[in-house]
Amino acid sequence: MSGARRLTDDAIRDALAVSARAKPRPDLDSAIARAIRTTRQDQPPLARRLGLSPGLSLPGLRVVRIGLLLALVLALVGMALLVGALLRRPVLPTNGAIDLVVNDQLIEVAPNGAAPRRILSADVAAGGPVWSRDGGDLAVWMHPPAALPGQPVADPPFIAILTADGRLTATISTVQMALGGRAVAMGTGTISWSPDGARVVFDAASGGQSRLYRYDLATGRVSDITPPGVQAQWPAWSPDGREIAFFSPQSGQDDRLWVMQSAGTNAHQVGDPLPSGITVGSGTWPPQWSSDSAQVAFDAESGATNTALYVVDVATGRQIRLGGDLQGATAPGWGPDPAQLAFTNLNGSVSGRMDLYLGDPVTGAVRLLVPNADLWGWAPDGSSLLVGSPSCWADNRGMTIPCTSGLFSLSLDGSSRRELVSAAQLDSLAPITSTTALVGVAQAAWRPVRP
Amino acid sequence: MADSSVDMVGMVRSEERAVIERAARGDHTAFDALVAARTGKLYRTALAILRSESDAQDATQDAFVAAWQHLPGLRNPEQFDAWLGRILVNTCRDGLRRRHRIQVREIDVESEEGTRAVGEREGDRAPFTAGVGEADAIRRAFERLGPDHRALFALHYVEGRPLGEIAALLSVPEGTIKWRLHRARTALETALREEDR
Repeated sequence: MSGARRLTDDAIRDALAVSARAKPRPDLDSAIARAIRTTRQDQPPLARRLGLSPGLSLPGLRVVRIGLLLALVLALVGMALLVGALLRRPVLPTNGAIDLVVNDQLIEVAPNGAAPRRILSADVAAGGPVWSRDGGDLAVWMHPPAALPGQPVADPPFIAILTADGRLTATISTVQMALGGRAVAMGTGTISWSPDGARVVFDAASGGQSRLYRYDLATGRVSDITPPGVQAQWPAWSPDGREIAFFSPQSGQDDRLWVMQSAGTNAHQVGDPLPSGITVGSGTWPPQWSSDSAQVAFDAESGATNTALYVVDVATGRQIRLGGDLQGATAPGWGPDPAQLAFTNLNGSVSGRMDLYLGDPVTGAVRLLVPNADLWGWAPDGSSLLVGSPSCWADNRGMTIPCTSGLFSLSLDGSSRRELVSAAQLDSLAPITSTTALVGVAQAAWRPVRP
Repeated sequence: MADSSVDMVGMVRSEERAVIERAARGDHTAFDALVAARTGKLYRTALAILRSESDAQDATQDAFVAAWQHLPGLRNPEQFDAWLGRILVNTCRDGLRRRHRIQVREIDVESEEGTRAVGEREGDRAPFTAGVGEADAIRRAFERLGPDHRALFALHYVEGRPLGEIAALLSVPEGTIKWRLHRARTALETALREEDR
């Protein structure tokens, strides 16, 4: 075979086919029967034996008392520092509605968790909601009515732009995307807004290549902004609007983060090459810009289940691994303060739970906020984190347990939480169906409201 | 019970729920019944990933023993097959890592497709134009891939599972599977170029 020949799906399928008649040795069943009779079963988890469900673990009363005492002692000094910090703090948006994807359905709730409602019809699956930075528009992937389980979806997904009051203002579909006669296959990738809310950048495939496209809301024009000679996925527009960070899945190019000008020019890799065996991007989270557009946090894949978290300074290329002793660090989410990066760590790969951490990319210090919680984002005012509890990340994707989590607002020190929407409410609004692709809460976006 | 009734990611049939619950309470006979209904399908999945009959036998047995051991922790019996499938894939990946550490070997799997003449295959499927030589090269290149890439290829191309189903099986979002499949394909093309040299 020559290197230039395209490898087709059929060629792979035919070469690797296993005969439907292939059968194990006849004695396999009896060998298993013998083996299990010499293997002791685990005891059921204590919580299950007691009829309890695992919840968000919070510090015990004693720890709270000690914390309160320390807080009292430091109150005067802290108050002065706090007032000073608040005076220097930029004006942040307030917290608007929360849009979250539950069992493939788009649900919207008020910032205090009131009045949860489904905002699309039940036969339209949705994903990847992201608010523009002024909170005026919501971009979301939509799937047309799903096909039967196991069958390919008949129509490709498309991007929909909705106003804050739910009006559909634009769609970006495969038909529009036939650029210069070249077909573009829309998938369910990443959408990122320009800071002025006038454009979105997203990834799609054309000719078997991953490419980046920019959509202008005013003109409806789509432009291919993929840098020459580079495949590109998972775009993230910087808060200052000047650059776009992305990953490249190409062999030999996936060991560093890519950054380019927002017009698609001057694409270059930043940071240090990652160690052998670690590749940029876990396929789950796009790169995340800090609010000052100086740093990008991204996760990396290390083997089947391990992930690592890196932060790179785009100007200097200085790169650190955050939480270096954590084997499952992922899902970075930057708060308004560039010194605060929240992330989760998968604690145990088989039946593990996510633990929620807060890290300081300057010092490299990390601290556990709460165990057993999934991170869904920051409140726009930076005062709290949006979390799911208990953590259902592993369970829902492995479906070992039909895990349902409630939506909580968690203080930045992890000491207090407030339930916004219960798991039962989410379940009743968006029940699991035979076509549900991702069970449970999959994504969430908190609408910023400018004062 | 026939293998065809088993879906590794779908729900188990309601009448099986009681059998699974009995097995979770330590009933060996109930577990034997679950095994009997699933060995064939799990074995073929393992064979697709491992490409070795003896290794596939071992992985199937190990997966069932692990399932037996941890079954009391499975809260919802209706998810038994999804859970078991995940254990099997993880067992295969572990097996490949161990195998890689011990030795490198190339064992071909006898299949109808692999032994069929080129002319017959062309008649069956018009767009396919590759010959046995290319199929052999792909199989050899497949042997060069890492465990995760092999598992992805086996589940998607050999077993024909949709990406959403693989995502559920491997406990990762569908977007992650698309990303990893893209990488796996790139790795296979690289390995094929190595085979050409």
